[in-house]
Amino acid sequence: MAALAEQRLYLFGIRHHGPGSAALLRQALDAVTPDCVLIEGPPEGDPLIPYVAEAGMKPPVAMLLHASDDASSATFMPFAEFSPEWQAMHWALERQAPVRFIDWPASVSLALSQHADVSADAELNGDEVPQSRTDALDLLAEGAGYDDGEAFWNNLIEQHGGGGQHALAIFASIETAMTEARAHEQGLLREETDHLRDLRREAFMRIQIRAALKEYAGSIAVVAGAWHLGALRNLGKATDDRALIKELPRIKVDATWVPWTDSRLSARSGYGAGVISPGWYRHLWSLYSRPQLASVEEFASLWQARTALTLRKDGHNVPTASAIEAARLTLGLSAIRGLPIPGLAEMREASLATLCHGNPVPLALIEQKLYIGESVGEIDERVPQMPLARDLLLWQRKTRLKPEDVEQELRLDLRSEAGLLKSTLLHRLNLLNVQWGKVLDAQAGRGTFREVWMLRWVPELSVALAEALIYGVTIEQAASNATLTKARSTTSILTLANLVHASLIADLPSAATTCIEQLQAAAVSASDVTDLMRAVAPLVRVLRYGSARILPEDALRALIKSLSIEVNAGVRIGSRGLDEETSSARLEAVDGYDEALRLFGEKSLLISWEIELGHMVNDDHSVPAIAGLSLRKLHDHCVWPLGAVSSAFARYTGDREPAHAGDFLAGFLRGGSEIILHDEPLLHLMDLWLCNLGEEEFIDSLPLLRRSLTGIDAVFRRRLLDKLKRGQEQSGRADLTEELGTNLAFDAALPLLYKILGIGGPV
Amino acid sequence: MPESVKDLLRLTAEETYAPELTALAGKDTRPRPENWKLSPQAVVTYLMGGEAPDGTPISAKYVGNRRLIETAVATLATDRALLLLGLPGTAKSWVSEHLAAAISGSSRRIIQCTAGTDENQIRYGWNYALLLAKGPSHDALVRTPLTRAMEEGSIVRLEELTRMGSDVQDTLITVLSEKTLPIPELDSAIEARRGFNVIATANNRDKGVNDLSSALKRRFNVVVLPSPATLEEEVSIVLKRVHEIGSNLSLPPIPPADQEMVRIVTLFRELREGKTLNGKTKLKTSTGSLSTAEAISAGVGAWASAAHFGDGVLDAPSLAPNLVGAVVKDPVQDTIALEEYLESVVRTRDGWSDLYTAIREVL
Repeated sequence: MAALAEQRLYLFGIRHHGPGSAALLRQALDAVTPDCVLIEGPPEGDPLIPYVAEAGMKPPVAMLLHASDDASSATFMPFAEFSPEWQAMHWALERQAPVRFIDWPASVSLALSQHADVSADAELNGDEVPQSRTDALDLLAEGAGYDDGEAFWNNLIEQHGGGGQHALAIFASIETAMTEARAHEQGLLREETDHLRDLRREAFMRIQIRAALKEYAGSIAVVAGAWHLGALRNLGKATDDRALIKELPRIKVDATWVPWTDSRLSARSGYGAGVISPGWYRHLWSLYSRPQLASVEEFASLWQARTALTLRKDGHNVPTASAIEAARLTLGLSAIRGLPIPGLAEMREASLATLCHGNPVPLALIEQKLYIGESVGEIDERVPQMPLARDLLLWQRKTRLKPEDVEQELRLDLRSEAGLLKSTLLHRLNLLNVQWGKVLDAQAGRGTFREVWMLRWVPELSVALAEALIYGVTIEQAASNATLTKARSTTSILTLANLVHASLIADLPSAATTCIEQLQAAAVSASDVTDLMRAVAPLVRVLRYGSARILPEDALRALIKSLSIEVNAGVRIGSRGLDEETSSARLEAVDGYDEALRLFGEKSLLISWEIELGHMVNDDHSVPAIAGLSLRKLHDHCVWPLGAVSSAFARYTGDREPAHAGDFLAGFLRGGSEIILHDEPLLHLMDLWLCNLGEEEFIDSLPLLRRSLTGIDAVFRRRLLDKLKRGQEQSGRADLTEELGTNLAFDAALPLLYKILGIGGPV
Repeated sequence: MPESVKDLLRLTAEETYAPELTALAGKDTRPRPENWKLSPQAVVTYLMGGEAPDGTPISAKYVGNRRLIETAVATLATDRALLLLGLPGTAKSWVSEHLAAAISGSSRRIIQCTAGTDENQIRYGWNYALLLAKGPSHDALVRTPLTRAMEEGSIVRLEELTRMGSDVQDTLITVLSEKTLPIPELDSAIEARRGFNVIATANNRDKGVNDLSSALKRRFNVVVLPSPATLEEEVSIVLKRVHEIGSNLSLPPIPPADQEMVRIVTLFRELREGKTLNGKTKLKTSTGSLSTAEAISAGVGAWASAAHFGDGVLDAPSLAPNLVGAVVKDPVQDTIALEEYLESVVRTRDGWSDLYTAIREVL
């Protein structure tokens, strides 16, 4: 029986995502025509296999397996069209042969990784197969003197000229080689957990193989990573295997197909069994999968033609004649190097010498497109998908947004229905933590009806979508519930204000209303005035300009009012004794709040605010910078007459320590030092103060002056200086000229002035 | 080698390495393009070093990336003209000479392109005496290296292609694409025999050169020869060449001075790249290209002054004047760069104090 089983069992060791082994595998399967095909992969994926043959499935796609109760515990099994496993599934489906996965169940591997407390991130990046080590067959290729695993396979295919028997012979020798390699490796020290993991997985595989051998009378084909072959040939005793997998934890797992991307297939993204160049492998596969093997000339020409085309699209002048020469040089190079088929290295060097005239820059620019590719897979409609993924698909169709694997700028006009719809979708997805797009500029061109987004789809977004499933089954519902959950779990003013803002722009009115209530409640007990102030500004902006969307205007207005009342009540006390960090945050908040309040246009609030500003100026305990800013606001909006302003100014600059005066000045000049250029009286005030300083005081205050002026750009400083100088020449200020003596003295002081103002002298 | 050539200042590549070429050709069974003396693989071996089929060791002519040389040879084997591009002193002419020697057995077909080169020096000229006496005829043509190479099916080298005017450069277009040179005066043409090809060199640093027209450019495959990638690589090139040139010039033998060569190369590399080897200190760059070739001549110069005027040992005092001469091409800017380098690097570097003193004396 054992001998019989051995003969019926065909082991095909493959290179994951290797077009060469995919081509050979198909030949071998044709030769054997097995009754059943077994593939290394989690059995939970079995129900997904029939969808592989659907017309709408466009690789790269991946099987996503995740714990039913926790989508963040997930694993992917990606396939390209040139993956041997993918081709094996196709082969079986075409012939209606049974095909199933035989690796250990994801329910076990995920349960184990949860136990091992492996972080979800690490698990996402790794494949479920521990192929972080180099592909075993790559080692074989290396041993045979190839630096590229695929080149090795090229040669195998080319030399044997195809044909099923040859393919079988090759797989047989792979099995021998790998069994031998494995026997040696057993002696080497390996990570204990890795080793145990392999043993368990192989136990699962053997159990499945035994079952298949019992079930079918004919031959059985096993498609697995070459590394496992040694452990699968000798089936051993079933009881031993059962003992190995006894008492493993299990969890409930959901499986589905999700789109995958080219860049994620490539080794660069850190995906363990990743391939170096999906673009190149696709090229290889397109040639292998033809009925007639392509000639070497065709092989080189097609690739060089594609390189030339890509270069041309990128704006380089690459004539067809050069592509021909590139193909010729490729062939010459592979002849010199003794290769039957040129590899990627030969292709690349030939492109460099002929298409790019030796200049590596253009080639580097198209590398991503050419070698990696930018495609995102597609999933057939019939594939049962998570409700959210299905809803997203509907939205994508409705909004005509296609997921792509390159960063892409999207400009939206919110006045148009289509633009608003897109914006709503993207904002909702962001609320669900599915960051397909990032807002680059919410008010592009200062119009509030424009948004600029940067879009890029990465496979992890499928996981984020699955994670969001706990919130609801449609994107709208889930986004709304996610917002509410967040709102209920926080009392932070800023977070709540952001949630209000976010739910408004994501067109979630009911969530917004709840958030507004929460925020109102939180504002009453809030202690930090800065946060309150910051919360007001974006809300006012939405209310004032957000006319592209329907808003719960009254609720919002009421909210802003109550927030402002809180601010006005607390700001004076809250402006005492702040440290540097909080006071600089406060300054910004005061600025924004002031502006927002004026936009809001509620007279009573504004008046009480201005009174508070006055209090802050007059309050000796106020932080000087805030007092400065307050005074400035009062001056700017003509609340205080000039006399009051100048006396307050004099008070702060006159008898205080220089450091205080400096802070005050910095606060005063904040966000618009131009004022001293245009506001003669103010300049006069400052001038007066400076001139009245004693020598020692003057020297003491030099650093602070310098500091206050650092925020001002060089052109402006020069204009300021010119103005002062002109003032001198026109004798507009006779008393001062007198004091300083003649222009000669002024000129003598110039170098020092330049230094204070931080500009070079006149050149 | 005949007695008469022994006093030549410099032997050609094919003369110097005649034994190696013979050994390589001896059992070279691989297919070779028509009129090639060696198979493409053997040409690569000749350039990169290795072993001939009969066991004769082959010295490396080019130290660097083998793949570049393979690309160059594959280019010539597929009947495409080869353009070697690179900074001054990156062995462009050297590679071109050896390629010609290995492929055609002669590196003598050469045209030095200058701003004064006219079409007659590329295509053909006329022997006016004959022309007047007998009228236009093949006999009255004055052949150029290019036409001779076409007729005998060998490699012709064009040195510094971009130095000659663009209009003259374009004379090559027909020759390169149709392998024929029309002689309208005689209503005939010079047809190239198999094995004919062009190797051009040009440097991509100089300003004021005549860029290739795109029509001509795409008739060349371009191989860019880089500066040596590592200090070790560059030192080995300098050591080898200094030894070869010195011996050829019969300079009095001196004790090996590998350490001094390392210093030359280090100084050249640092000033060339504008930073110290460890990348920590940023330096001014000099105006000269400070190529490997210049490092070699500084090495030979130092050897000569050590042997003839010094005490027979290559040391800092014999090195200093040659280094200064090589670095200071622009009396103002380069002196500043060198001064800065002296003070910030040489003075503080362990074991370089002798060099510091010596260079200071020269400056």
